[in-house]
Amino acid sequence: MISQLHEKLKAKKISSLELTKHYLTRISKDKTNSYITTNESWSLEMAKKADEKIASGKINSPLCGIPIGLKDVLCTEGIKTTCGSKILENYIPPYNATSVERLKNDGAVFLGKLNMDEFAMGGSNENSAFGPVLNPVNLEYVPGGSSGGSAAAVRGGLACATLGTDTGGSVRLPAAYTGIVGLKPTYGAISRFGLVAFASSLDQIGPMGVTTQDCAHLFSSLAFHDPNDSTSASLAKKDYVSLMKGLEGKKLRIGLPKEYFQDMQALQKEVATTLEKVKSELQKQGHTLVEIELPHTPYSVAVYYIVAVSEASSNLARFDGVRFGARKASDQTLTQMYKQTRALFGNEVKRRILLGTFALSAGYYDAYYKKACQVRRLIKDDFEKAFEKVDVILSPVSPTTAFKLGEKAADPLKMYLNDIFTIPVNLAGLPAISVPAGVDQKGLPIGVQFIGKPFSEDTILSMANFIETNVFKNEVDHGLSL
Amino acid sequence: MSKVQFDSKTVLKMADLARIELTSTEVESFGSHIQKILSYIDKLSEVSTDGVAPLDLGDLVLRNQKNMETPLREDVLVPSPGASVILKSAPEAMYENYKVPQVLGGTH
Repeated sequence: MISQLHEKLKAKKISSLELTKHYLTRISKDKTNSYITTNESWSLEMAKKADEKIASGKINSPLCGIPIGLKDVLCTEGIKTTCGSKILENYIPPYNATSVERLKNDGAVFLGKLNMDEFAMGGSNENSAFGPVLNPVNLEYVPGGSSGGSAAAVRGGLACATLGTDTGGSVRLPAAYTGIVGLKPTYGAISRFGLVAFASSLDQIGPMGVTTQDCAHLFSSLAFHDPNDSTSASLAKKDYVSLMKGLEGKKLRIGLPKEYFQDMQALQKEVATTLEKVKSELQKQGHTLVEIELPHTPYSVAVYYIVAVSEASSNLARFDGVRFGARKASDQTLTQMYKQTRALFGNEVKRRILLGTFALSAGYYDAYYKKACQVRRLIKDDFEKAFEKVDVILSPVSPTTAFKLGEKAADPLKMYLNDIFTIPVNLAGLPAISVPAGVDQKGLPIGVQFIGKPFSEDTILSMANFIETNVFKNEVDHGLSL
Repeated sequence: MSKVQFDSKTVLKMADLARIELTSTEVESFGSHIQKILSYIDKLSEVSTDGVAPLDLGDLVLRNQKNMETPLREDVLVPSPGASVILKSAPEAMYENYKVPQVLGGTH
């Protein structure tokens, strides 16, 4: 979609201002609650600048003039950044996140800040202080979380493409539930500077788009070294669209984890049949399917819910009513001020901070946090062994398609177990992509996941592109004639 | 892994350590939710981890980037937004400082 719009913008068949207004009009009629903040003059100003760049022939990127939405966990200078939380309801950052700055330098136009689970904690986008996001495919269903707004906006035609973040599946799960493409890059590929931290050893920013190529365009703009993030990899800027296309037709060894496929009963029938169809198409194309073992898979969710909450309890200590955000009980003691200010966190955030505080507390640290980090190493070792035999791994994204609003809200553990196929990837710091591969009987989208070796985004992008071209043609309507 | 009773007393202790005020309803529901989550997490005790070094963030970065350098930032001065800009984000500020409730002395 970005490539086509880029050609039209270059040929002056449409202006960025027209395109931006088109999306802003659609956003004003949105029924999915995808955006927390929009700011028309902010967006139109950027669109005018992009048009000037185009008029003077100084286009430096295919993203020039393209309207993009940003998950509201990325800092935007002068524009509210709430993280879906009451505690940051009126927070205006004094700087841009590196990812935001890079898109801006490439001439992208920002449409606004997208709704999300509070501090990116959740799998259904029902944990936002600004209300749940609805799935544009069927408004009775959740769009998945935590980047629910980012996914719903792409599917519902409220942004050309978006940025989300993925700590345990938060890009891939909503991408699968709404029928779009979501890329979770290798840990360290995209700078986290200016991304409000949830779990620093797991968080990654990820592009979300209608097509794989759209994600490749965004990834090309973002994935190179940033001196402001000490975990940022020393990558040079590359064109992932060309790299992805260059791999077309290359025969690969595709791993099927025994542990993911042995209990097919646990998968919704249509999810299982979609995977079978994908497997046979890959074989037809000349790829080799190889059974592999990831024996520590059953422990992933348990490890994740220790590591993620421990890091969260530490990261979220900064919201203390002193330096930014809301403050309550100013006239009481310092401790009372802290406690009442932090009471503004929502239920899921409080629950995770309490569990994280416990896992790190004296007497329990070794039994919980240390033990989880040891098993995390075994999970990473499993993947390293598997990747000696295969180039890429195929798996489901989620055991089921999207569920109804409220269906899992009362049982946090049930919600957590939904992430069984996405969590291991974050624990091992690997790249993975979710791509639409079918729909169920209700018309709800089904995604499949490709997991790659560290920094092999080009390979998983090429696999997703194959699915898009040969297995399932996804129809997403943004009301534009392309 | 020891069996832990995540009762109201433990919830309140953790809430105090984390500096979060909870309502009585929250104390009750968080206790039962966390108890259920911890029972699930207990399955980690099945895994033998003798002699396994914990994987931490630095380790993760280095293992992924086997053939890459971990670059260090050049030690040069760069402009920063300045105190007045940063303090605009603060709920209360005074004389270019953060203002907090009284810590020493007074009636509290």
